[in-house]
Amino acid sequence: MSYGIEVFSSNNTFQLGTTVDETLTVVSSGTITAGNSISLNPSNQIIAFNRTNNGFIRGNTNATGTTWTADGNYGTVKYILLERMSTKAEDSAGTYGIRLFKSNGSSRSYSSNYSKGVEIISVVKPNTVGNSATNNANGARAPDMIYNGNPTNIYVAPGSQAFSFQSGVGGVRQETFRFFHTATSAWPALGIGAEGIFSFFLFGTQYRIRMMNHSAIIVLKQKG
Amino acid sequence: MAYGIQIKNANNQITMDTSTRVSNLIMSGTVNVNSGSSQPGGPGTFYVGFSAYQNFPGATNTGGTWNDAEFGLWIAGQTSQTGAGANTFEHIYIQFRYQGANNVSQFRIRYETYHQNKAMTYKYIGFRF
Repeated sequence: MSYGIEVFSSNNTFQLGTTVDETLTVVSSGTITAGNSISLNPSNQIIAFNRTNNGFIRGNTNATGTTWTADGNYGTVKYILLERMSTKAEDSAGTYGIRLFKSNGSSRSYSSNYSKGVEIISVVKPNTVGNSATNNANGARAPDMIYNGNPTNIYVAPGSQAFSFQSGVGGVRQETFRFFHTATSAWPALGIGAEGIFSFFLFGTQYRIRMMNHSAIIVLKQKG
Repeated sequence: MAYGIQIKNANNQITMDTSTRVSNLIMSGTVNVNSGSSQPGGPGTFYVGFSAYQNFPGATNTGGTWNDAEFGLWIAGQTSQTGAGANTFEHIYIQFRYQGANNVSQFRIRYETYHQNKAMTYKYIGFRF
């Protein structure tokens, strides 16, 4: 950089600077009950999921990426919706604090007038999880863990994951995450697993095909 | 705190402090890809198409190692498609390249489907963490 400021964390990760296009803020949060949907704007919003008990995050986006519908068989999931600061009005007018602007002088890249921030826990690289096991026929397997520890208030933003699924109408099945809040006999560790899974029946036998993540998966939590 | 930056909201809750990894967007856009008419694996296999390369400023590759602990690419679900056919068993892969002489890093999408000439559009966001 030749001018402006850069801020790094205690781990030397980049936090703020004039080279940044912009930052994300949390604009809404809530729950999505099984079979119901939430609207989002794929141009400037990202959805991330959590659940408060053991179970799966499974659902589909529509063909234009403007709704996400929870699968009807896996209960209620929690979500937070992240949005670019340049397109979201500040939460308070704020006559103090800091603002960073893009080079156009008017679009915000960061502002302390947003009441909720985002902390990145980790970023799972594309094509690295969801397909580690070899038993593609029916049967239990351990998931690829993308977060180890109590998953309370830990969210996953999947992006485009396993594979396109909705026949003929487009859309992407953004799945499959499995939350472990309590230890089970099937999986003794707490955390979040990632499974790109599709199952079908052939001559009465169920087969499972496992796929890896297309996009990076962002593991994060809300700040504030 | 003895150093760094700490930001609180009006409720005195911390929205950023010295240990926070922040999601900084460094670029975003849409990328188009078409499956075309080529089946590299022969009849009955996937049609394979590639998008044009998109710039990804900041990502570097040194001796075959990307700095992907700091930079990441997030692909949203496709936002449009043309061409008939179910989407089951389709794949996309992100492919990076780095031209060290020009210090240019780029990515493209490899799209595999059983449907010929199927066009897809994906939104992407490049992060620096």
